[in-house]
Amino acid sequence: MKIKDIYINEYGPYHDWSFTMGQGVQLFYGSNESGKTSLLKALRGLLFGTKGRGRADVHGHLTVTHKGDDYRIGRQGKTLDFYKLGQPAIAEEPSTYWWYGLDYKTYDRVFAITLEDLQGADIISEVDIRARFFGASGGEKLGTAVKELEAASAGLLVASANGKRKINVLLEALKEKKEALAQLEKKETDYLALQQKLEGTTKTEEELQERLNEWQEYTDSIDMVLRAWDTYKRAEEAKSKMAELADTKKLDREAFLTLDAQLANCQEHMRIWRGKEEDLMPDHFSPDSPIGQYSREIEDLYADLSKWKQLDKECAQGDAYIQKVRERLALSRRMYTAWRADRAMPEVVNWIEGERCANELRRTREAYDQWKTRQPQCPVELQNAKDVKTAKEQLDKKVEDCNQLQALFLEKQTGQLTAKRQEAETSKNHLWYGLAGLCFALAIISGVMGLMGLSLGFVGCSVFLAAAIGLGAYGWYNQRNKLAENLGQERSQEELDRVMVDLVKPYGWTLPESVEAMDAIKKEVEEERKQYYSYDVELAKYHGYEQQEAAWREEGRKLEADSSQALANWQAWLPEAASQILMDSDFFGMKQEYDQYMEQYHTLEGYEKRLADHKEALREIVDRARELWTNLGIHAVPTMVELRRIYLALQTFKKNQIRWEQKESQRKTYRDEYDTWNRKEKELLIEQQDLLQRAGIDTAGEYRKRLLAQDQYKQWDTIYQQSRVQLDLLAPTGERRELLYRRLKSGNKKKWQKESQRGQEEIASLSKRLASLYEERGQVQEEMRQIGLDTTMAKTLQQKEQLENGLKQTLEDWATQVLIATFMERAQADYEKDKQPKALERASRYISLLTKGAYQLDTAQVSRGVHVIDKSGQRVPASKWSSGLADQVYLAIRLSLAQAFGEQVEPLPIILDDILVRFDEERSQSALRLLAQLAKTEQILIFTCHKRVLELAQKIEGIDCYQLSQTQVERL
Amino acid sequence: MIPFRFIQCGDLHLGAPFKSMPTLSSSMDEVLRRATYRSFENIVKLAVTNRVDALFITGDIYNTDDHNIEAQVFFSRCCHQLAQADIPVYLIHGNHDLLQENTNRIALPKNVRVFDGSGKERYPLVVHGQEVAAVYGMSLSPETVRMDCVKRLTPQQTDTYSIALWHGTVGAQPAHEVVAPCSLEALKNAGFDYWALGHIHKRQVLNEMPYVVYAGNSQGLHRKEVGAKGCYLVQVSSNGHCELRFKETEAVRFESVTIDISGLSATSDIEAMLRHEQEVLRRYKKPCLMDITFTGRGSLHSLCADETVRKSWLDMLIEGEQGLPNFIVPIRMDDQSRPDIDLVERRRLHDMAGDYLIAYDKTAKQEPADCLASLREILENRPEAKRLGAYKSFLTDDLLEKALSRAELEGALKLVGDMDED
Repeated sequence: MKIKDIYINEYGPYHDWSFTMGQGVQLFYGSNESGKTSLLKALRGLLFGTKGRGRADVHGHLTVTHKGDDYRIGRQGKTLDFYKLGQPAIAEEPSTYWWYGLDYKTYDRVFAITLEDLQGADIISEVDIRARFFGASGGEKLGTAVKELEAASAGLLVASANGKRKINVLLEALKEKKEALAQLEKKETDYLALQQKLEGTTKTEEELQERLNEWQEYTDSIDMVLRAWDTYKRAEEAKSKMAELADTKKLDREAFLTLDAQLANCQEHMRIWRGKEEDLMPDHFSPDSPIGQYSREIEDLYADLSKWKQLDKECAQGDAYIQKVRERLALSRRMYTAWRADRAMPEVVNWIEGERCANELRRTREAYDQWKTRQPQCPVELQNAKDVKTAKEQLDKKVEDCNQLQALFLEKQTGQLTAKRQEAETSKNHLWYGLAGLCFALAIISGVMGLMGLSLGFVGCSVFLAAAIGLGAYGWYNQRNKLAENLGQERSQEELDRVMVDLVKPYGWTLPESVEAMDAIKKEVEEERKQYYSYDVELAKYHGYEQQEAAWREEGRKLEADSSQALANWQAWLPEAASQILMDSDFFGMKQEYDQYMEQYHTLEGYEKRLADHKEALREIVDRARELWTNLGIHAVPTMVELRRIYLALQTFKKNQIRWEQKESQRKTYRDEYDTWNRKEKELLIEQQDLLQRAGIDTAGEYRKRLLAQDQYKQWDTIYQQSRVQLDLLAPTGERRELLYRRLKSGNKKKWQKESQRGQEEIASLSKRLASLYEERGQVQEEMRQIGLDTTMAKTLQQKEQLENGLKQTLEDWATQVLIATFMERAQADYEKDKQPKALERASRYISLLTKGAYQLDTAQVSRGVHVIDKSGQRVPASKWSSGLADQVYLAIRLSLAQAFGEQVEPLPIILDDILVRFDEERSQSALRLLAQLAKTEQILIFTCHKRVLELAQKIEGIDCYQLSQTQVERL
Repeated sequence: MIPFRFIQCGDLHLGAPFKSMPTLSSSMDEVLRRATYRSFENIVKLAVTNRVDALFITGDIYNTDDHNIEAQVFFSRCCHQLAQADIPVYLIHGNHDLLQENTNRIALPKNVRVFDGSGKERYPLVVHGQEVAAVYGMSLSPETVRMDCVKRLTPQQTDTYSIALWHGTVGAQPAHEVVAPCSLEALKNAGFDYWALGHIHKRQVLNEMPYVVYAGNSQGLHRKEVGAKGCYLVQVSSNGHCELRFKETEAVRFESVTIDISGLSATSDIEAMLRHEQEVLRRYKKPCLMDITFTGRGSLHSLCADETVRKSWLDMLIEGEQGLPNFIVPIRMDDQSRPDIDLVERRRLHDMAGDYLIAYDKTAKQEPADCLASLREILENRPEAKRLGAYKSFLTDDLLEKALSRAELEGALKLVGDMDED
């Protein structure tokens, strides 16, 4: 393709700008901001559009030649206007339409080169470049195909862990399903655990059921016992009764019963005739009634009724009167002062003796009172004599004590002398002890000598030892006696001291220790005595008075004794019922009260006697009545009212008796009938007696009893048989029957009832447990059912399978795409083996041209990096290239690639933007020449701001130079 | 000898989900999920209606690895039904429900006899109070699952008729995991009258006199297990001769459908053919799952090759079957059709497509093992492949082969397509 015309309607500085391309290299020279780069961009924009970031819209068109035909590529911003001249518009981009999707970036890197784009040789190994530039015929499609395949396979599976592509998603879903399945697997364990539990409950149920059955059976058998119990007991009772009633004696039942019936008949008739006879009797009448028998007594008693009445009245009145009198007497008795109410009044009192005692007592008392008036009086002058006499008596006592003290003192003195003597005797005893000690010493010496072998030693020792003991004993005995004596003396001394202390204490003396002290005491006493010698006369007169008083007192004592005697006699006489404080003056009052009482008392006695007579008479009447009552059979207290009633009954009886005696003949007829039957009865009784005798039975009652017993025996036997039948019905077979009878025999009903209850309780408890077990089992089964019916597992498995299927299919797609891509790359690689070296060789040739033969490209090892070989054959890596050399190498490669594309697809315009700036003049020249040469086949546009380049170019043929200034183009 | 009859079934895989299934609708998914159960229910019904004397189950009753309690409970319930009908069940454990000690299992009724792993057990089969046959069997355990221990089973001389239950691979059985391998000769010489075998899902009678019979599985579990599935109703006559009658019990049927696009020119043609195939399968009167393969060479290839188009057909067919009890739906549409271009010719052209095919051939024409190894290497070296983790195992040989096959055509077409238009 070659551009023929350019028209820019609007782009950057260009407005309605057009340019027609000439043949050969088109070089545009212009200073900075002259519009070179804008033109370059506008060209690229018109060719490839302006899709992409930062690319300004271009408005304009190009007229190009493609395979001999002219086409118009117009752009109005994003809108494409592409058509073959005179033909309808083509919807596709030219790059897709002609150049197999060559994108603007690749175009930029190979065809529209700025200095920046020029750098780097990686471009050679890029798939897109390789496919388009080195591929076989149709290879330009390869890049697109591989890209599509890569995109498609990446759409199915990506390496990223977070990728959400189809396979990644499937893998994730499968992972989730696997986890879900792992969870669901646990249900199997749960189910098996439940199954085990269920088996456990089944086993338990069997056990419980077995136990329940056992208990049921047991309870049934016990219930049978209880049902049979009463029947059995009845049978047993019947059995025992039968044993009791068993009677082998044969009795003539018929004969006996006939006789019995006849007898009964007789007795019935007798009863009837007796009844008839009795019917003749008036009502409430009995000819044998006691009232009739004792009619005389009744009448007699009734005759005394008025007397009874009188006596009864009098007795009652008498009792009341006597009671009144008694009360009066008791009242007056309480009012007596001389007599005690609580004692009975004596029947007899010796009033003469009493009078005498009273007189005696009065007389003695009067004498005594008179004596008291005669008491002698002490004369006034002798008033002090009494005190003196007392003081003199005290002094006499003091003198006597003093004398006694002196005697004791002397005795004490004597006692002390004896003690001294005894002490002297004690020293004699010490001598005895000394001798004894000597003898003992000698005895020891003799003993030692004996030990030393002298025979006499022991003898001597024995002798001296005996002597020592004897002397010692005597001394000890002597001393002991002396000690006893001393002790006695010591004791009497102490006694003396105590008496003496008692003597001195009342008088305030000190205990005389010496004779002088004693004498001082005596002298003090004597002095005191002398003071009383002047009172002797007074004392004598006083003595006379004392004798007179003593005589008076003696008389008083005698009178007092007489008075006491008289009082004693009086008190002795006083009757017990009389007050004991009564004195002689009370005698006549006392007698008067007594007489008054006794008079009243005797009156009362008279009343009582009379009343007693009346009572006796009344009692006699009552006794008669009581006796009559007894005879009449009346159990009641005999009263006059009752008597009157009896008397009336007697009157009625008498009337009835008269009537009774009037029916005598009729009665007799009845009696005869009665007697006839009675006789018949006796005959029958004789006959019965015969029967009884034959049976060896004493009485008819016994016979009847025996007959009855036989009847009862039969009844019991029936009961027994019936019971047996019932029992047989309950337990007809052997073992059960035996068990039943054993149980019936043992224990009691209560025990079996208790057992039955226990059985019922056990059954209830077991049933309850069974019910709860069934419930538990139901729950387990329900849980098992739920798990068993749970389709989640199966559904999840199915879903997993479906996912895996999806995964397999997708993997197949993925594998297919990967394989195709791989095979394509391999085909490409094979092709490149042929095509790439050609392009590289061309590039090498261009490098040699540009560097004047200084360098060539190392085509052999392009895959390991781009190297050049200098003239000496040395490989120079890119890192050691100068910037100019690098620009020349990369330019050569790109020119070669552009040519290869031209060969492969179609030549495209090559646009170079100031790429020769780092070339030296010579190499710039070479480059321009090379480009001028290439321009024969390729369309080449050069933009530069360097005058030098323009000048060099102007010298070379085949380069059209233009001046570009403010978008204005001028051919140079 | 008293004649008797029994049912032989196995590989019930109760509750196991169908393999390689797309998501249909919730109701259809439910029908598929319950298919294994329905199938076994049909067997139980068959046993009860035919009043068989025994039911033999030759292992793989359910997949223990799934821990699907619903399946176990379901099986137990069915056994109870059989117990009510007084039908004894004799069963062994297979490689999917290995007999493991110290592992509790769902309780089974008393009519079920489970053989242990010793091979020494013998159960009499009693009919009308008389022993008509002796049943032997051996459950597989983790220890014996790879061992040939068929010799452990030995009939007694006195047995009037002896039946052995076995779960394993007899001879060479392609496309099946090898389990308890043994030879047909060994079985023939073991002295049993009837070998009831399990494990191989394709029913087959390997031998007569003695009978060596795989009943296959009772329900197809994936798109390759096409056609009728069920059990054998066996009538043993008084002379020991067996009459085997296959009874179809599957609840959902897998069918394979091939549509040749040669000569077809319009999309509607393909749609009409798909509907026709649906109608053909309705004769089975049960839900059917179609595995559709497009073959042939024609202009509609590009449509068939387009996954989006295939998906739209798939959805269309499924949508039309919603609400039908016996739905006929496709579960997969595999494109094996070819475009009009001749890839062999293309290889000779020296263009990019040609070069691609040559590059493809360099890998594909290797020894199959080397080829698969290099394919696996290509895929596993991709940085994103590490995301697959344990699911790398899904990159099976089949998948790789399929991908390789697709790559040939799809890759070439990518490079050639526009050119053809030009």
